[in-house]
Amino acid sequence: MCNIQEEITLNFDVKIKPKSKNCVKCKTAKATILIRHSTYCRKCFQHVFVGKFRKNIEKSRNASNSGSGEKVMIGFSGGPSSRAMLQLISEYNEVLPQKQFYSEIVVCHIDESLLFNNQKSTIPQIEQIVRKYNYPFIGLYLQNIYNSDVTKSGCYNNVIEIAIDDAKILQQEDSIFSPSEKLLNLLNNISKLTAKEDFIWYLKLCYLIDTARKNGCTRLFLGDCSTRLSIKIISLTSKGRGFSLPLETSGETDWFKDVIITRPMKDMLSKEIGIYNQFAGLEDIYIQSVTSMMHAKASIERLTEDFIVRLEKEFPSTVSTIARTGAKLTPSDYILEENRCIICLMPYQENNKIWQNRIIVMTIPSLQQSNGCSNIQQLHCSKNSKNPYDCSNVSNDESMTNIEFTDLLCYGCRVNMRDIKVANNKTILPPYVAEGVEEKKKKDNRKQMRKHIEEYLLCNEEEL
Amino acid sequence: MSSLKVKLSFSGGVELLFDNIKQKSIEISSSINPPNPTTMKDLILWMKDNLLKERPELFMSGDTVRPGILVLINDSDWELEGELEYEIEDGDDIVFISTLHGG
Ligand SMILES: [Zn+2]
Ligand SMILES: [Zn+2]
Repeated sequence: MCNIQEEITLNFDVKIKPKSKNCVKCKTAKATILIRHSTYCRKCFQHVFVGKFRKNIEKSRNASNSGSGEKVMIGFSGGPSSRAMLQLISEYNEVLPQKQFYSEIVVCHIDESLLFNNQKSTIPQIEQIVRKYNYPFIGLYLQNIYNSDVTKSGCYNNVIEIAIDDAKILQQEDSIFSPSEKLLNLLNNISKLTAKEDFIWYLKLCYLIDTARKNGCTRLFLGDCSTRLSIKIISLTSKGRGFSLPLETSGETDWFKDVIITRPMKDMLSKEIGIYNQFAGLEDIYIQSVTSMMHAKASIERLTEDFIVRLEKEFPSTVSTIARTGAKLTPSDYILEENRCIICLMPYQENNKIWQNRIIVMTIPSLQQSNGCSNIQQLHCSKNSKNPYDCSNVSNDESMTNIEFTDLLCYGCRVNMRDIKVANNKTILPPYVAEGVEEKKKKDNRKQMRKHIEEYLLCNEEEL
Repeated sequence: MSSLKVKLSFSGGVELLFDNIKQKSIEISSSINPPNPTTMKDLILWMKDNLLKERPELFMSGDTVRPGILVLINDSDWELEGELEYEIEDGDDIVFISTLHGG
């Protein structure tokens, strides 16, 4: 179908109705749905939609070679895409009751109602939906990311406090704030909505992955559809997150090692999902977000959404073109496991600090005054060598410079941190971030120690 | 001049703009703009003037529905029904679904 031509005809004679078209698939039934340039009848639309999903999910199952018996988790926001995904996964897993593909399906939802004044929790509504499927349900509150058990060790009780020129690791009990207050303080101290949205998303992601891991799930299903992914591809690029983009938008990634992330909805447009849910009678839950009911320029994410959705209306191949181009991106060879940002857990570029100092005008005000700012490296070293052997116990006031701390962040998170006002209430980052800092320090210390004693070591057998 | 009974449904967040009502039956003139029969274009303007409670820019863009809001007329995609030019019939079932900020 040619949109432009149709518009012209409409202009010449407004009363003309488009000729009734037949379905491109069965060729006989009257078409009732337009997807990109193709017209479908209701039956064929559903067939094609489910087919696309099955193709993706089979592909990921074959790739991982897990056979049956895999325990998986569905990240369920309650939005249309994850709602459809829940239904599709359950249908897929119950095709042959005697041979289920997944031994257990757990559904996890993170409630963000704290962020919206006086809003009711979303958990009861979500639980009601999940109950229909008889799957175990885990309802979490975003603020509980501050709990000491949302860490690798499962009981890490230190947090990071961001002050004007240092970031301090301190014990959680020393803080008089509740998890809710900590989260609200953190988000309220971020002035830009873009950074706020970013923070919320990565906190959720970290929470989901941690929960999947602790529940023995080897796979986490996320409901990003192609419309969403193409919005992400553009917005991640403009936020300087291009390095991790392939991991954050691919159909599947093993970046989190023991928990594989799969996005089985990656080939469906949000329009297709809306129609599918409507026809299947799947109830939707309206989930508020920080940019809900806001104008398009509220954040990069919102602006990108507005841009893409408008473009898609005029040029129905926009989303699929962006998504397909994005799918061709592969993770860079320079992605190293050890260079994992301690906030978003995404990889950062080796030496991105040097690059950033050269290219970007970004200084940390108070440090600049005292240090002239070019001898960052020196400062870093002297601080680090303070106690190279102590790694198990952290004293109450172990502090590091902001520079040291930002060394462990990706570019995107650094930009976000710069957006944090430290003057007001205390900005406290959750335990998993503090744990990440310590882990990294331990590793660096071990490396350093090895370097010191290298010449005294006998030949290492492993290296022979 | 007769009137038309139309059933409107809102979901995916569109309902927030309409006083949080998910379904509403309305009665409108069969010719809002005489002598022409009432079309989707007339209906949308009518909705804006009579039903819309908040932020018209979140529902409309120009004189049409904002991109990202899906419209189904009797379970059929309005893009195949002539969009704004579609002539409303008595008993029509029209659904507005927002597909924005979904995930
Ligand atoms: Zn057909
Ligand atoms: Zn990061």
